[in-house]
Parts: sequence; C-alpha cells; structure tokens
Amino acid sequence: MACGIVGIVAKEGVLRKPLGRVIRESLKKLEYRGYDSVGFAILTRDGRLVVRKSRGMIDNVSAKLGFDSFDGLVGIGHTRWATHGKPSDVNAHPHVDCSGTIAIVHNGIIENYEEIRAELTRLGHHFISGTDTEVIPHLMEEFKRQGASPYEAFKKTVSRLKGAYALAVIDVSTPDRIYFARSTSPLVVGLGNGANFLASDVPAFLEFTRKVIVLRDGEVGYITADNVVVEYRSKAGSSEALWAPINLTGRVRVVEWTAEMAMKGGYPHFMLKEIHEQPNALASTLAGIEDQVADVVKALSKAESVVIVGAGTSFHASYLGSLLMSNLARKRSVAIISSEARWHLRSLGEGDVVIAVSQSGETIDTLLAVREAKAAGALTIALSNVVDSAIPRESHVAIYTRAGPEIGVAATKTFTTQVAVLSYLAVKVAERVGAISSHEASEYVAALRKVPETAATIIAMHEAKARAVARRMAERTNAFYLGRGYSLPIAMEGALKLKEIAYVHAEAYPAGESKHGPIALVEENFPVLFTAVGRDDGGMIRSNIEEMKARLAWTLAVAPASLKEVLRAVDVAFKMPDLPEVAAVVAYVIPYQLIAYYTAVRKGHDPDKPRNLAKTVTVV
Amino acid sequence: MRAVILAGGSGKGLIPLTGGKPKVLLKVCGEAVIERVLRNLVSIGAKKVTLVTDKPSEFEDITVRFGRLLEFEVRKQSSGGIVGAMLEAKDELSNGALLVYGDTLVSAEAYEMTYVAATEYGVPTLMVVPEEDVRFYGAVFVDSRGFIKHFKEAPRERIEGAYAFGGIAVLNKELVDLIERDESIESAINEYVASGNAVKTALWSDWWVDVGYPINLLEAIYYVMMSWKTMKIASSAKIASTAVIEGPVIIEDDVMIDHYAVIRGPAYIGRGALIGTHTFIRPYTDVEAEAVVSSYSEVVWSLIGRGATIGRNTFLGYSVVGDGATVGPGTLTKLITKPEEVGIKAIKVVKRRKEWYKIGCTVPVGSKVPELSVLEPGEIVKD
Repeated sequence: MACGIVGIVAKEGVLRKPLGRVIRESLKKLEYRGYDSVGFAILTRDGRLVVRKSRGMIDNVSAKLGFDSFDGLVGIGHTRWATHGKPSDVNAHPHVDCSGTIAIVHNGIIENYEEIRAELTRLGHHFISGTDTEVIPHLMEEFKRQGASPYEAFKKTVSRLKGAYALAVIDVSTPDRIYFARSTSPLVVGLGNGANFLASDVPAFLEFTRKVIVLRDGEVGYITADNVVVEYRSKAGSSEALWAPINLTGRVRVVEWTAEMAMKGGYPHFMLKEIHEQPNALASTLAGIEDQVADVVKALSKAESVVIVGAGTSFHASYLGSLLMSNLARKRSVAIISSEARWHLRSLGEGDVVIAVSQSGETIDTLLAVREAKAAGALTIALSNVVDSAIPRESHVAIYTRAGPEIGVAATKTFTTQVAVLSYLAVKVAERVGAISSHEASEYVAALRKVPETAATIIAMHEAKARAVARRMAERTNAFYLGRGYSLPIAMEGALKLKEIAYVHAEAYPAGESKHGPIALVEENFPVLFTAVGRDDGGMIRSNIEEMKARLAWTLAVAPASLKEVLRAVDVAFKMPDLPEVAAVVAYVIPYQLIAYYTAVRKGHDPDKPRNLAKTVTVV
Repeated sequence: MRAVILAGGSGKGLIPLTGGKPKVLLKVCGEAVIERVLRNLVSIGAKKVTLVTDKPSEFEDITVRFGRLLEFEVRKQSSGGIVGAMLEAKDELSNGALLVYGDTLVSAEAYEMTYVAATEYGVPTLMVVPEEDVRFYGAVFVDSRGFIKHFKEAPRERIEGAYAFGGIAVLNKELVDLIERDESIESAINEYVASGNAVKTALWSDWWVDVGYPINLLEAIYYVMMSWKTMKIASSAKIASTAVIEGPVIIEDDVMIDHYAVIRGPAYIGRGALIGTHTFIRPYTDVEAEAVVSSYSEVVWSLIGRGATIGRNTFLGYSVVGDGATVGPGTLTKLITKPEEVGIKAIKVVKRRKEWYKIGCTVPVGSKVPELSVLEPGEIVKD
C-alpha cells in the first residue's frame, strides 16, 4: 500500500541542518504517498535511539513533537496512509523491538505476520501494536539473540517474510548504517557526497543528490555514509537462502528531472494517472468492505429516511446513492448539496440517517451539514477517503474509500470508489429489508466485485476514442449531457469534469426535461452526450436522440452493448459492457473522465491545476 | 543522460520527397525533423547522443551545429531495419540509454516522462499513445497497473483495446540480448514478459506524429504551428504596404511579399521566399526557404519545399511539394475523397455537420507539373 519511507546516514557536517528537519522535509516530499500518521527514529550522537511518532499530518506532528530539534547522523522516517487498521500513535511507524535498540520503517504488507507473531510471542516477545510491521524488529532481535550478527539477523529476518515490503532498519549495535530490503514495494538509494539516502521515491532526497540506484526485487543490503552494499537472494527462498553480492557499476543513474515528474510515474498528468488507477482503487475499496459496513447496513435498514449530502463530485455520488437507496432498497432517500443542506436538515430527527460524502473529509459545507444533522438528532455516517479527517471524526460512524491520495483537482478515482461503496450499501440494505432476494443480492455483489476488472477494460477499449472525440470537443464552447434515472448523476459528473478542466460550458439535464427549454440552444454541431445505464424504457432515450439529431446536434452516447439501437443512432458510440445497474453506475463515467481530460490537453490546459479551483474547499 | 536516435532509412512512403536522403532531414517550418528531436533531447538534459544511420555523411552538418550542446557518436548501420539499427547501438541501449525513433515528433515532456518512469520503476519502459488505428505502429496491450501484457508489431487489422507504440523507449541488457537473438522486437518483448519480467508503459496524451507519409508532414505542420502565439517578421523582409498579414505568422529574412497578398496564420514563410501579388496563403501553410508562390494563387494547409515554384493562378490544398519542384500555372488540386478509398490517408474535416476527408497531392522533388493540370486526391505526381 502507499506509504513513504526514508533513511539517511551522513558524516558530521554534511547535512548543514538538524537530521530531524532533513527527515521532515524528505517525508513532506513523499506526502503524496500518504499522510495520516508520521514518525522517525534517530540515532543521537551519544548513541541513544530516539523514536517519535504520532497520528496526523506531517506539518502538525512535526510541530507537536519538535522534529526539527532532533539531531544525529543516522535516521529513518515514515509517512503512513492507513488502509487497514486505524491510524493511531501506536500503529504509526517506526516500530521497535523489546529492547528498544532496533527501529524499523516499512512500506507494504507482511502476509505471514500472524504466524511469525504467534511464534515470537511463545518465545516471550511482547507486541504493543496491531500492525504486521512490528514482527520484523522482534524477529531480528530473536535471530540476534540466537547468536547472529546484526546483518546476518536482518538477512534471516527478510528470508522469513512473505508479502510486499520496502524496509529500512537501524540497529544501535551497528550505528554507522541502515539496513534495507526490497520486495515489490518501491525503494531507491541516493548517493550523496558524505551522505547516503534511502527512500520510497526519488523526490525525497533530490535536494541532496541526483545520483540514484533503483533497487530491484529481492535485493538486501545496507548504506553507510560513504558506501552501499547490495546482495541478492536466490529465488530458492526459505532461511537457507544464499546471498550473492551485486556489482553496482552501471546501476547508478543521474536524475535530471523535477520531483513532480517523478511522482507522476509514467503519465503526463496526475489526473490521467488517477483515471488509470481506478481499477486498483476500486479493488482496494471493495476488499474487506463487508466488515467495514456491517453496522452501517444495520443502521440504514432501520432508518426512517436516508439523506445523503455532498459537494461537487461527491454530490453526484450522493445523488446516485440516494437513487439506489430509493429504487433498490425502497428506502425513502434524498441527496442534498452540502451548502444547501441546512434548509432541509432541520426536519430530521431520531430514526433518520445522514450520510456525509467528502473525499478529503474536510469540506467545510459538508462538515457544517454533519453538525446540523447531529443537532437535529439524526445518526451521521461519514464516507471519506482520508482516514480520521474532520468529517469522519465528527460523525457517529465513518466508512472509507481506499482510493489512495488523489492529487489532481478533478476527482476521478474518489468518485468511482464513493459510488462503489454507496452501491454496495444499497444492495446490502435492500437485501436486509427484503426488497431483493438474497440470490439477487449476491448476484449484484458479484457484479460489483468484477467492477475493477470492468473499469480496466473500459479504459483500454475507449481511451483512443475519447482522445479522438476530444479533438472535436476542443473546438466547441457548449455541451449537453443528458440522462434519465441512474444516468443523470453520471451525466452531471461528466458535465462537471468538462467544465472544470476543459473550460467548455457543459450542462447536464434530465433527458426528458430537455425539450422543456434547453433544446432551444441546440444547433448544428452542438455536442449532446447521452448516458444510458440500464434498459431504454419504451425507447425514450432513442426519441431524445432523434430530437437532437433533427436539430443537427453532434450526438454521442455511453450505453451498454445491448442497447444496440441507441448506439447505432448516435454519431459516436461508447459501447459499454452489459452490467447490472449497481455496477454500471460505478464504471460508466470513465469515458466522460477521459473525454474531459483529453479535451483539456488538446486545448493546452493543465488538467491538474484548473483555474480558480482548490482540491479541498474549506471556506464557506 | 544518454540517448540513441535511429535516424536511418529514407522511408518508403516518403521517397518522392526525400530523393533517397534520410527522411529525418525533411524540413517542417524551417527545421529538420531531427533538429526538433535533438532540441528536445538537449532540453531534458541529454549529454551524449548515439546516432545510427545508413548515411552518416548526411548528418555532418547537423552534428557540427549541435556539437556545442551534445556529444555525438555517429554509427553506420550495417544491417537493415529497426532491429539492425538498434543492434548497432546495443551497448548504449543495454545501459539504459533513451531510445528515440528519429522520425517521431512529440514534445520533450514525452521523452522526459518515459525516461523518468523507466528510472523510477527500474524496468524497461515503452512510450505508448492511445490511437484509434494502431495498424501502422506496434500494438501494445497494457494491464491495469500500466505494465505490458503483450506486444504486436505492425498488426494487419485494427485492434481495439491496444495502445500504439510511440517510438520512445528505455530498454535493458536482457531485453536487448533477446532482440538480438530473436531479431524481432515483438518476440523479444513477449518472451521477456512471459518469463515474469516487467515492462512498463509511459502513456502520452498530447499530440504525436510518426513521419512516414506526406500526410504526416501536414500533421506535423499543424501541431508545430498550433503552439505559436505571436507573429514574427524579420527586419529584412520586404512587405508591400497593401499586403495583409493576420494571426501567428513567422516571416524569415529576405522574404518578399507583394501587394494585395493575404497571409492568414498560422503560417511560415522561409528565408528568401516570394509571395506574389493577390496571392492568398491560408492557415497551416509552410513555405520553405527560396520558394516562390506566384500571383493570384491560393494555398491552404500545404508544405512547399525549399526552392519550389508554384505557378500563377494555382490552387494548392492539403498537398506537399518537394524541394525544387515546379507546379505549372493554373494548376488545380482536387481535395475531397472518401475514407474507404483504398490506400489514401486523408485529413478529416468537419464542416456543416458533415465529415469530409480531404487530401491533395504529392509533387516529388525536382519534378515539373505541366500548366493547367488537375491533380487528384492522394495523387503522387509522375514527372
């Protein structure tokens, strides 16, 4: 999972500022990998191992714990993005062994930690956190106790671990070095002048050096202030593994790019990266969702009514959520824009539930709505992407999307993951209240479980077409997005994306309502984008398309393959896989995200930094 | 950072315009394709360039001009094809140098993005582009984490769900060894991936042109000019008082523009070119150095090569005229074609809700088109 780690070994006088501050600044550069808890371990000049860690953002924690005042020559740091398990002071990294002389930071997941932990507990080791990481220092301590040298003990430890990891380890008994190991999770070595560095990503140490070695899977070793040793474990595995030293000549690269370019990982913009991350973000959100929402489903099933509040993209997710609650779960439900919520919420009372949807968990309008709802006596549930942010903290219950940090201002992966969670909730509530059979429910859940795969297919199949459409869209100044029912919030989200990053005036309208006014604007070449999530009841969309074509509009449609007549009627068809509506509402927005992105690029705008917009709106 | 440019080949589709010279020396808006590639490399901090070509002597001029900015090593290609050219720079490519196809035009950011991704992930990386029709490029199938599942070189039919290989890559020793053994990029990549190794993609989203046919030169003109924001007129240009010049237009030294000529930008008029009286130069027209467009002519979205002459009263659209060619007076190019016409690639234009496919003709280097000719869409004029 996305966490950031750093390690630094320096000679006296090389860094020119306290080590604590260097670690803080490096972690800040890795903040895009996660920022819910942070910590460091520094070996002071008098040989003590100082560990400071806490839940919270880097700036707050470092101010609170005085990171900048700690100095030494060897240190490691960690910035965490909790996905499983709450962020807390105890769970924050670094973790230490029983004696407090081995400190470790870890990015990844140790799959066999329970087995190792049970074994070590029997041998008398004492664990204080709920993390998988904590087994690592204790295991190393155990091998040392059995007589191995620190490096041998570290290598034996690594041989026992299964899963993904990037590790950096300080042992007080070898105060000149940091041990490291990499498997799947990223790790790079930075070669400085009188100082060497370890980090999850190059930007962390670009201030000090541009010479890097990218470590490969299965590599283990250590850095000192003027040396790097790397060994490779033969794939034989087990503790009997053989280690062979690696010749590093030819592995050193000089990086000449900016930190931002490095963070984009092979995409020209964060937004495109995040669109492509959706399959993984959805998979991660849906993994283990049952446990996360069990209580919420109970509460919603008992509720008199369900009000869902959100702002911007989160409102569109809320709208989909309320339609699913009403239609599928037969639960009285309405979606309200956060800033408008207070005119509606006063009528609520006990027995009503308010779901507050906010990517950042800090959106001020949504937070105010939560307070209002609480004051009225309703049960409040937060749906956010940032663990322990303001809205989850102030709500009675919190559930999380696990989309990972989103940097592009235009929300993409956080929208689809929000919709996936709300859709899952609706299915579960519908099943519980008997609106659908358990057979139907399991069919729907199965369809949702396949959504990550479906999303990947949609991206691959339609990206080129979206880019081609964008060429023409870039020359237009207006567009309509039309849909009925579940399709309407998707149309609204598509229109918002085009507005906010491509600066094309786009309006979403219920398709049936379009002839009550908006159609007056339609003229030759006017883009009209139709969305159809489910069946085309009585050919209604079809007749809307004909109305627009009669006015020479440029018509496009996102519709399932089975709606052949809709797809055939339009100028440009995005043929979507046939899915149950609960899954289609998650995935069908993807072509619109791509059209908006490519239109912005075509027009020469930076989609990551649209004018006049901020990622998180914390002013009323 | 080091780079390898594959600059060989006169390009089958461009022979009428290259006259056998390397196609990367073709000029667009006064600058050879390879010069744009080299400028990109300089801007992202390349220090050394290994240039592989079958005609090293043709590149002397350019290597001298860029000599202050880049260290050059020009290697003569001994065996044919892309694989042959790559193996000529086997040492550099094995060491992770940035591989650039010299006939690919794209902005420097795409080079940087690819190189950075390769270094960040520590694995070979290919730049890919979402193109609807991947037939002329390699088809790359990508998994949801951006790694290559499968690669197919120049597929015969259209493939959905694949990305086009964009001619920029970073390889490694294992992959280069496989390419040498298999003499094929396709089977090397597929074998490398099948045996559990990772190849990353870097996804490019902005414009990109692979210069293989005359129509690609027209596309290149479009993209190069699209970024122009201002007008630039050399002080030595002579512009008649009644000439009209609008939009971003670059007019080089010693150009002469006669009375009542209209130049509507974006357009490029190269050094010493002459635009006759009452001539209308429409957007995306590139008139190279020393060329002459005689009076009462109209030119739209065309490339007029160095020293070429367009006779009076000619209409030239969506066409490419080779260096030193002559188009006789009163010549007319027909533009409208149908997409299903076999073998003709055309530019899609949308007007009045209808899609039109337009393409003019190609006039080979040094050839002569007789006066009052009517030239068909896609025609390559025979001398």
